[in-house]
Amino acid sequence: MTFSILIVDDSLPMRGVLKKTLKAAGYGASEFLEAENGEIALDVLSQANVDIVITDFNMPVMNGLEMLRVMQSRQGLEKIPVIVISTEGSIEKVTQIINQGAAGYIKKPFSPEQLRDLLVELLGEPKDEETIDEPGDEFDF
Amino acid sequence: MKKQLMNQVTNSIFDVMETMFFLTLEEPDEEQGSADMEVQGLKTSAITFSGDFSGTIFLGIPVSLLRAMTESFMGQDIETLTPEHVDGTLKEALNMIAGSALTRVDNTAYMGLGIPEIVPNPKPDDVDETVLLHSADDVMIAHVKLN
Repeated sequence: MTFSILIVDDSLPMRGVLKKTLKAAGYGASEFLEAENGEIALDVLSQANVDIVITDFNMPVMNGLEMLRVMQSRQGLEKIPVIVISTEGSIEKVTQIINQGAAGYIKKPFSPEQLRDLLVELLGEPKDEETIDEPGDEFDF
Repeated sequence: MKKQLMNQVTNSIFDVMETMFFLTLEEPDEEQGSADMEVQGLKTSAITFSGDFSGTIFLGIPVSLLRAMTESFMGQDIETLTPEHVDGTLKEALNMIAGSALTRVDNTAYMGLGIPEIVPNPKPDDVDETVLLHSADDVMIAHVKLN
């Protein structure tokens, strides 16, 4: 099964790293959509069927939490799982993110395995020939 | 607080460089002076923070090392990298370092992080604390300034 994955981050390199990580995790056959901030992401979500959103927290124009709030209030978007990847590590911020309805939270810096484990939990195992099966195999960031 | 934050910035640089860029750094030299701030060919980014205390964290990395880090980070050939890729990698590295450092200082405090920007290298008198960190062939520099 392939997925449609929306990556929301104002950092071009970070979007690239996330795509690379997702491909290495076996989700290479997925469709990757990108947005630079929450506002653009909501536009993308209004036009495309997305299985999961992976978003940064701290972005200009509309941050990840504001985007999450809007998604929770819009029919059809409220059930899409959202993973927040952020440098924001305070207990208050993490609680806020989870209470707002995020399906998962990963703190930067993160290992590729952390992202893969959370995706498998939320989407299931990828069916991609690039999937890493052997425990000894490692991601190449 | 300045020294505590500088120590945590240093620890976070080690963590981020190793986890995200596979770059091993040497322990900082205790005897470094402000003259060491005159490192040539640096590109510098700054990020502001506010909350219980506020200020700015700077990170300067030589362009040659930064390009190599960007190549490693993105898995993209160095010849195809644009200034946006390189600047974005520096800003993202600083973003991760600042978030990590501030959480290490106090993970219960609200700390608003700004958006990282590319800035000129700060003058020694414009910062409170400085650390120089060496990799095998290069040196990077970080500063902390509290308001």
